[in-house]
Amino acid sequence: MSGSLERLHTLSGHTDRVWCVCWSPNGTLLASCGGDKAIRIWGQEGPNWVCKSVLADGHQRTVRKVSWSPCGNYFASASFDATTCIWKKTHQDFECTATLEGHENEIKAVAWAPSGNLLATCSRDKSVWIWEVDEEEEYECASVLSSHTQDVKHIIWHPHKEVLVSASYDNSIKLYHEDDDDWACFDTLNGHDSTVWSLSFDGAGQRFASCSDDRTVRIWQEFPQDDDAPTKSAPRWKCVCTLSGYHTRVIYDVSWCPLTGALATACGDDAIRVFEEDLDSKPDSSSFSLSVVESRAHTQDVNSVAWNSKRPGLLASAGDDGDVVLWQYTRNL
Amino acid sequence: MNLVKICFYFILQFVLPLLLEKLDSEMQSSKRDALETLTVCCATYGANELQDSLSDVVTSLRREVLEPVSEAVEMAALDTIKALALTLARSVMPPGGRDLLYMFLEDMVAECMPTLTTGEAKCLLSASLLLQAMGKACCRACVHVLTASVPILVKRFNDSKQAVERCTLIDALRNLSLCCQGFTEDQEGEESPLHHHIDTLLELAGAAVSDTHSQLRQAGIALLIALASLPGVLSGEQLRLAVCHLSQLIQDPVSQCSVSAVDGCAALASLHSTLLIRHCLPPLTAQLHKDAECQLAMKSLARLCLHPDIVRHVVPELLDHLCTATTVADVVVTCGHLHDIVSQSKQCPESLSYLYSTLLLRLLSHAVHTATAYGGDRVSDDSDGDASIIWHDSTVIGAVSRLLAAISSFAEAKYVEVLLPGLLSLFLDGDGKLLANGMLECPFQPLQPNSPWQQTQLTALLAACIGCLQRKVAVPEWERLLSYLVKLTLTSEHTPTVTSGATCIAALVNKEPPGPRLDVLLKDILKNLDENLSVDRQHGCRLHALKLLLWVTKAVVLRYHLTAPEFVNKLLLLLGDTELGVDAADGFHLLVTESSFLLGPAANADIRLLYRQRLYTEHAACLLIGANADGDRRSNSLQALAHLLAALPRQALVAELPTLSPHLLSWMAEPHVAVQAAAVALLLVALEHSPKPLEPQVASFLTCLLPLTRSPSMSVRIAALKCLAAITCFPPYLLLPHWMIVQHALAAALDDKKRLVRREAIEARGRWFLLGSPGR
Amino acid sequence: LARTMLENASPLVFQRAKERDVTPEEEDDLVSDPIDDREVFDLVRCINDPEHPLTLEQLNVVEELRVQVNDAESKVDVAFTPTIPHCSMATLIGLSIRVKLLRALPARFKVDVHITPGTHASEHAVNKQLADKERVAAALENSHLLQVVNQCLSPSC
Repeated sequence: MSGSLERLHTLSGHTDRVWCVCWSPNGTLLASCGGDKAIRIWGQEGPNWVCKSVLADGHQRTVRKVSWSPCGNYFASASFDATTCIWKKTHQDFECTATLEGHENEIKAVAWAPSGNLLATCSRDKSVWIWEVDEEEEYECASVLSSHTQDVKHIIWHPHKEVLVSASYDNSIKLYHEDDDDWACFDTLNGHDSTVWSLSFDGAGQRFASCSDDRTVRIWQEFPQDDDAPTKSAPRWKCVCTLSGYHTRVIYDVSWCPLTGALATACGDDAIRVFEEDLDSKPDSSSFSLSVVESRAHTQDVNSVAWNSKRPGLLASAGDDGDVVLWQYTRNL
Repeated sequence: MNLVKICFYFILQFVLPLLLEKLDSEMQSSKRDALETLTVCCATYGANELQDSLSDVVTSLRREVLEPVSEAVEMAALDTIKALALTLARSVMPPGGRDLLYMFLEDMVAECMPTLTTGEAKCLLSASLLLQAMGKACCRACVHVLTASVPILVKRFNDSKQAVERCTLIDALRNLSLCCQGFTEDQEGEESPLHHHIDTLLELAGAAVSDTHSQLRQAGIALLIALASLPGVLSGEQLRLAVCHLSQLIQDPVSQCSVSAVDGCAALASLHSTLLIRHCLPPLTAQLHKDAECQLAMKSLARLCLHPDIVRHVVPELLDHLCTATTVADVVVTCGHLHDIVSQSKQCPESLSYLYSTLLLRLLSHAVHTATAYGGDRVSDDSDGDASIIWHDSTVIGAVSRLLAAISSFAEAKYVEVLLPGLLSLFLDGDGKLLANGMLECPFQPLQPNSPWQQTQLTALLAACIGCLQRKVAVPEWERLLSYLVKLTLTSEHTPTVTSGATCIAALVNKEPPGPRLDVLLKDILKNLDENLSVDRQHGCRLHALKLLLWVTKAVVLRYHLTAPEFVNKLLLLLGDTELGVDAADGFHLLVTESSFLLGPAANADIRLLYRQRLYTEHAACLLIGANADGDRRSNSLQALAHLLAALPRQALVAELPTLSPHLLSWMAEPHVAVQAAAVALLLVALEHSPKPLEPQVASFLTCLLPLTRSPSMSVRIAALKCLAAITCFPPYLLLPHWMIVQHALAAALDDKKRLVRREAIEARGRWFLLGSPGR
Repeated sequence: LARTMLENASPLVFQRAKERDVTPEEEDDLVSDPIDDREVFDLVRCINDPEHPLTLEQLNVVEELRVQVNDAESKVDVAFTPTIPHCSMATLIGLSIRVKLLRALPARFKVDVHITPGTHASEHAVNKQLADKERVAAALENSHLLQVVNQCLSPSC
């Protein structure tokens, strides 16, 4: 082990489990949401972190995930009530400016594309929806993708390109892009033996990590497509590393730090683990080592981890115990 | 109703079809009712009246037993079958007519046959019960049933390899054997119906009890006991063999087997005491000298003491063990077993008189001997010095007194009266003629305050011997004894002596019939108490006087004596006392709790009905005033009130609710555990009985209750959680604002270290989850 | 009338276990009583079956020997056995057990509820659903489902 994780602040306020934490793009605000149907926005005041707002009237049921727009002026919240709310930053607070309806049942995730013009949502109804945002802040459904055979648990966008990745209860991961003016799945990644719960790209967008109910984390890497290969269906992404044997229960979330390259996981065994890529890692088959494990990070399951994208090593986590915790990760030399 | 319905024969032909139809109903209660009516029909009518419907009745009955819907219906059907068989057996067969009983038996046996040969466990037992019910009707039926069924079951047993199946077969055979219960008496030289099967059955039981499967051994034990307890069935030699088997099984390494064997032998104790004495007791008494096996042997021996002869054999062995025991724990355990023997013997005058004359005297002698052996300046140089010192331990004295008290409380007056004069001259004058060797090595003056404590603490034994007697027994030298006791209690510095003295006085006061002798005594006690309780006396002296006051108060309160209010008021005054207030408040607990020893119902005390309510009614007002005072008086009065409330029955509490409810909130916030406990208990009654008036204060109650779920006292935690469950009867709109905070507290209580607390937390949490939720 | 609608119209009925005796240790304020197999079995045995007026214990759906508790490691494992291999109620029964334990056990416990191996046609699918806490949470926010679960959990025995 070569790193350490120091508990900086414990932010209490949610009255039920916290499902998700998400940093604003400039790293100053943290949004959290959970089973109490509320969203909380946390920010720093002097040395302390305080709750800046509680948004409790947007959703009728659990708020499952939150996602900031790239500009940081908006964020979207996905709820079990089958709606997605768009919140706009006002002077001191946030106000709900749009409610996106369409999914048949629980929405599991929402993600904002790097351009800020596209938004994706996914649901237990097995579909992924892509929404377009116009200048009047109107949201219009651009595509409904029904490639998965079971609930879609999570979606993320590529950090630079308009490529979308989804993870599902059907154990597979799918990749989509716009093709001939329509969105389509161009690759399906099998490998996990059970539900894939979450995904995270690295800073460059060459690789992403996935975590699963099968207690493993897999690293997938993009391989440039062979120019000779005529078929479109040839896989371009391959699993280059599997982290198994570290986690003792479901892994609910994974976060890959764009600044430091450290990989953090949130696990149902109450622990947060941070992995580092080995220096001698080969380009086509990466290898990672456990850097630190905080086994009692929360008193119950850890549901979410998120690296701050501006301050290296600052990590937020959320758990079933209702707490949001801020950690400082340090590499020991 | 049943009788009216069937009192005329011509009704019967209409009633029977109705009953059969009712028997087919799905309702269990209808089935039972029909069966009970049928039973009465069978007993009222003869076979001729019944014969037309016989086959239908039989079919229905068979179904109810072999495919029972419930145990109650099965039992009712078995009763009907027995009644029917009895009626058929009594019927006079017309010349050339059909033998109805025979037909009935044949029919039923044929029906059971497949079950007996191949049926599953549950069916097999049902069939055996059905056959048993028929067999019980008469000797002829019994012979028929046994001849038809026993050989089949025995064969199946011998062929079977499965231990569980064999167990069931033995149980079935036992059921069948029991059907000859009424016909075993060998009066006219007739053989018992079991006669032809007995060798096979014994052989089978023998095989079962020596099997490696412990459940099979247990089944075998049960069969052996069933056979041995049927009079006249086993021959002398067979009985001896059976008892030998059982006595070996007492040593079985599997405790269930050994316990069943002991219980079985105990069941045979009154019938075959001689056999038990000869075969069961010797191996057990031998084990008394082996440390590892001693405890179990004592327990088994005590359990067998159900016959005077056995008692006479066992008690001396245990006494020897008791008097040579070298640890306090051993003495206490042995006393416990002797206590069990005494309790088991309370219906047997012969055993009791033996226990009183022998056990009581031996114990007293030993205690007096060990107390005087140490007496004053003489140090014991006995070789059994260790064993003597143990008898100075207060725990040992306590255990021995409880044993003596048990013997005395059961003893018949005529035996007691013989012994009492000697007992009193021993304690009053140190005269040892009562004791085993008649002579005392040293002066024995247990009631003199300046005697060594080893002697004065034996007041406990005196209290046990005379405090538990039946009320009609007169204690000789009553006045002198009491004046000694009062003096000893008020001047001794040895606390256990003071307690024994006070309880002895209280027991005598409680039982003394009204009259000048009692009045003089109480007056004297009051005067002495006034002197000794006065504030200029030393703390220790006042504390001992308080102890006497408490016990005498209890004695007069229990029997509603006229002076009771005077004594209680003296106690109430002390609640404001800086030195004694807390002890006086705690004393109210003593007043209202049932003593397990002296002054309890087992000690033949004079206890009036509803004395607790009366004590409460007469003094609650005074305590409530005290509870609104300041300082010590307030907390002590509350504590005393709490003790009284804790002892009140529910109905009485309900009546007090209007007076007490306004105080609930402030009491729950008191630091005293007893006050909190009483307040929460009262709140629970209020919530369950008349919650409406409490609704406006819901927030305050919840605020008070939540911290109490973390109280150090388990009973307070339990009561607070019960209140949190009960409060869910309030309308949900009142509770939902507090839902989150209550659920948070309840979630913490789910991890309480005590299982009983967790149980209440789960119940309360479950109810809060259903609040305002669908499917409530 | 409803009898004909039942999948398993006449199930075998099993004896209930005796109530747990209260020991002197349990009444002693100072002794800690660990949470054990029997305590957790007592929690689930009284759950009502969704279609019969019987408890899961009476239907032998739950048995004490299939409840494993490790208090020190905060782990509970409950296996349940559907009355017939095609029982469509299996998920609902499993959900009721899970919710009961969610409400009655300290939050520190990791609870696994699954079908006794080899006793149900869709064993794997049901186990996967029951292990998915997101689906369980969503199910409990569905008032129809919650009503049925609450009925299974409401005290009747």
